[in-house]
Amino acid sequence: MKRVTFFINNGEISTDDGKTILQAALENGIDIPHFCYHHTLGIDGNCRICLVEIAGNPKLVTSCTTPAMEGMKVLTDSIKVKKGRAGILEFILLNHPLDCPVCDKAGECVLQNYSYEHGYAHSRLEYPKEHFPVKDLGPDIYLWTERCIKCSRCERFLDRISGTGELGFFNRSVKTELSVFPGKPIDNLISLNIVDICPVGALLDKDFLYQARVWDMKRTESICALCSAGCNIEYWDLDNRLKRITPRHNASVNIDWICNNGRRSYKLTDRDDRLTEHKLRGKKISLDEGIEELINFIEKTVDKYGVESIAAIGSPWLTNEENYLIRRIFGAELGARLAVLPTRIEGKDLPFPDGFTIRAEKAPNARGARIAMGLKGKKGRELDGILQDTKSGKIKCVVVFNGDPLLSLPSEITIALRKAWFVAVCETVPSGLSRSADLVFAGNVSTEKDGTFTNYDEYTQRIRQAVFKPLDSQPEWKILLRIAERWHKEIKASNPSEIYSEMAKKVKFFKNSDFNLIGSKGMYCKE
Amino acid sequence: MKRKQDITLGLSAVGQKEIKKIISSYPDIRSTLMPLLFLIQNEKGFISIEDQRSVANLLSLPPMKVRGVVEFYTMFRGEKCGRHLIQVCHTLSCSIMGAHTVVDIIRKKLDLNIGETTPDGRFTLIKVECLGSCGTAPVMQINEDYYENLTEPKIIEILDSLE
Amino acid sequence: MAVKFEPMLTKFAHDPKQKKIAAYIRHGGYKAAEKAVKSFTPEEIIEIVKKSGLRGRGGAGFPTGLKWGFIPKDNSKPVYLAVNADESEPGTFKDRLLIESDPHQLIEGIIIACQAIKSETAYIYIRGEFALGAGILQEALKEAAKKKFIGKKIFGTGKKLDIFIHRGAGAYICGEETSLLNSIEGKRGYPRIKPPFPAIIGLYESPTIINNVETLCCLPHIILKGAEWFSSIGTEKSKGPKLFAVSGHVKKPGVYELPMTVTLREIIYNICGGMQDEKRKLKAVIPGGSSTPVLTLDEIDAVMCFDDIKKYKTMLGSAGVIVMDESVCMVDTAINLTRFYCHESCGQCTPCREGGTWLLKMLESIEAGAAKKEDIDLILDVCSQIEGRTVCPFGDAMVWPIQGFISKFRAEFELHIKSEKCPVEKDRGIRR
Repeated sequence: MKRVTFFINNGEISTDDGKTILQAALENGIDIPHFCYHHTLGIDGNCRICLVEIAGNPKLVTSCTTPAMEGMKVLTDSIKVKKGRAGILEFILLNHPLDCPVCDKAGECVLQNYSYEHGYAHSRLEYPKEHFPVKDLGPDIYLWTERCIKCSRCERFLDRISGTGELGFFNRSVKTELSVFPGKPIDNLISLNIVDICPVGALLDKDFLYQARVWDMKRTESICALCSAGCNIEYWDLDNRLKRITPRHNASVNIDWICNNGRRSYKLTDRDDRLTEHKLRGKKISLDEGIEELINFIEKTVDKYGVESIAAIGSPWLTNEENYLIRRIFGAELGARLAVLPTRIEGKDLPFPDGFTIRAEKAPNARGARIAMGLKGKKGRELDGILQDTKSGKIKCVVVFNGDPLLSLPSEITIALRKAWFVAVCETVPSGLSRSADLVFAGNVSTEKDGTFTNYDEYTQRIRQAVFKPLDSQPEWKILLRIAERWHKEIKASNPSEIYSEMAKKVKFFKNSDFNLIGSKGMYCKE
Repeated sequence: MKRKQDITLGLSAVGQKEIKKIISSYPDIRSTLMPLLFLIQNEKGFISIEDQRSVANLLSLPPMKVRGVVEFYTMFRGEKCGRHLIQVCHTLSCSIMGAHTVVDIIRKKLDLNIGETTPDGRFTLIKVECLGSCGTAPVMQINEDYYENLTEPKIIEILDSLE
Repeated sequence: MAVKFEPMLTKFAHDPKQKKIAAYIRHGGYKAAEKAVKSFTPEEIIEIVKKSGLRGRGGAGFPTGLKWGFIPKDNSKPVYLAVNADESEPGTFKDRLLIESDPHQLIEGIIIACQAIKSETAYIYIRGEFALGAGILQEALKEAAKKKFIGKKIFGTGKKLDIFIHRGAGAYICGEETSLLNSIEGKRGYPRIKPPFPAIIGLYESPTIINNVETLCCLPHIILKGAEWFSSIGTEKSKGPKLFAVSGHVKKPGVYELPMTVTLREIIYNICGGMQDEKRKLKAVIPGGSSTPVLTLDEIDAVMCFDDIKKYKTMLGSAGVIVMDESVCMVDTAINLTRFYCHESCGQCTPCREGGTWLLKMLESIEAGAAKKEDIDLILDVCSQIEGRTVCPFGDAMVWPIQGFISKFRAEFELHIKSEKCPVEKDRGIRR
């Protein structure tokens, strides 16, 4: 690929031949102010704020439409550019309502930021502004039409990325207005991404309306746990209550997007029926008491009937570290039978034109769970075998770590396990499993712990704790480490990072990787 | 719910023949949008939301793209208007040759304001921009016909002659 | 001005039979097209047109032969010709005359252009309001097809050429060439970012040339009478005859075919019979359609060609001359034109969409006598924030007239403000 070298503000910049000045600048961490350009949505050149000066050219040009040429000298901060940019901002603000105090976007509004940095402090307009109604665009989105700066990012997203085309402009001149067609609201599975890419507070998420100010919330980088795509996200919480999810950019995984269901998945954390206490036969106990009971029963059973009478089941909803600990404690150290809970498959994979895909496999760590548990292949019959042997009485004690927040496990599992003499279940919300189990541990969902997930593509990524667990419940890795400690099975680890290091020693897949190296972007461990 | 493609667009037999002719004039079917909208408007007087949906269906376009075109071009009407749409040019040449007076004469004669329709549905009056006939100013267009070199008697005569 | 000049574009404009192909052929029609189809190579035609010095007659004045040469030599996609018959620039009404009175001249020009650029498909984009013209063209196309001048196997050769009419629907912006293309493609009339230029990526992602009606009408005459003959008319850089559309306060408004050696004074007083109301003095003249800055009565010795007129800080544009006498208020005129541009703005880009209406409001405030002294400079500042910053030249077209009026008639603007009312005795009556 031919490269081009040119100068921005006397600093040397190199880029691929054919790229525009703006693209080259953004690649190199220089933010030339822009609204309508988005790296996934093509070049539109309508906002005109990305003006720059090119030495030898009397007119300012838009950097988003001008190809970078060898030796070009570009200025982004000359007096001419500053004045030109401020002029464009003045025009954008001309009919823009002064809604900041009541607008959701305040604090993360591109227009607000640019105005503060590059605009005039006073308005010279002495006439009434244009007025437009607030619109209900469908089940998820409001349009505060007056705030719209007509950058057309939303229209282009719905045309090119979701392929549904619900939004368009009608009328012209200063009466240009964004709208949907009567009777055809915005109703597609990835529609809420237009709220993120809207540079102002025009398109708003109904779910997040007036919920919180962005500067009051804490942000945590993590991975969505709803399907095996592993979309990169941020959790936003206000005083430990999750308020919303926004997607992060990752070209290898989710580009810039998250599906609407994934975006709403933070609500699972605050379900009313979250398990908050550990219970033995319906009565509240402490974690140590429960662990004591479990260890005693297992040891007695092993004495009488051998290790073949014990089974431990991991989960595609739990992290690699947690599944590894299950395998290490019950498998490697004890010798019990191992399996992983089945993943729910909903329909087919749903690919969108730019490659973003909603996966049919509705669990975040199906691949990772099997790998960490030491089970060969992408699918297996280990669980079937365990269920059969439980029904026949061969297996007497089963320990199940179920992380499914949506209670989607098939009932055959619960029915089969009822035949066992002792069932210990770790769950987050009460399912048929925990209702008929002897011992119930209260676990944590993926927003409440650190760890790693490995997606359908065998790409491993970090989840991070965003909020604190409810009451007595614990992250599963903590429960497992405690079990190991009480059982005198030495595991040299006290947190997920150290568990990962242990796992990397014993599981070939993770051998060349490091918990901290995975960082914010994730990695293919097998490099 | 997928609607069945209405390839007739609710037009007469003559109109439907035109549809075929229009489609064969372009290598890309989206180009037929403007001619089809004219066809519908000529037969039905305006282009309803239903018709916009049918055209969108026929051309496999999101309906908002059709609406965006209907509401961009001033000659496309999304609503009914009088039988005779009086369009008085008020851009510069016509303006300095008496367009204001032309409008006043018509308003007085028909007891009508700009943008309104007479109660009997006969006339609608609007002001438009340059009609491209500046040499014969002041000019007005009624439906598709130009009326040029207007004087007061001429205007009255024209209005009286239209049913 | 002693000019031995014979009109050729409008020679038969007053003969109602000229619309019929029989009369057109009798007057020498379609001979040039036949030559172009049968005897010249595309390169030869381009050379002839380049040598003739023909410059685009739509307003930009770009050399036609040069434009045709921009199509990539190694092109394998179909090439399209789009005829710009969208004539909507206030003050301009020359293409209407050509279309309605001599449609076959345009068709012949299209055939020649298509030979030069190797196109087999042409679209005539005619503004929607010209329903009469569209009907006349449709009939003429039928006649030409019957004679096999267009269609399959034209002029007895293996070549083919289809010409379609595409009606516009009321949008001045669609006269901008890339907006015209978007309109033909069934979209809102938004101009496109250039580059890429239409000669590379035009209609349906294929090379497309857009030519004005008058430009194309010159072609049969260039082919028949030769490049030297054409370039012997006019000035050094403005060759060939030009149609001037004169309107406003003159005795004989209309379309006049003249060489570009003519001055504005000659047009107003010799050709058009002088001021309509002899008791009123000439005050201002717009030389080339509404986008061109106004000239005062001291500047009417300007030679009406592409280049000389520039020294008066204006341009020839579409040669739509609007003559205004002292009953016209310059602020009111600025408002009239700005309202036109605001109405016609496509709304795609920020400066034009937002700034235009602001300018209009400030001008209206001056006319109403409610403005402040600083407002004139504020208007000029806003104009400079729009000029050169838009996707297409519409933004410039909107602000140049305002800048022109303020520059040449600043005292009148200031008097409005000082006296808190319009000081001009406007005549709103019908002037017929």
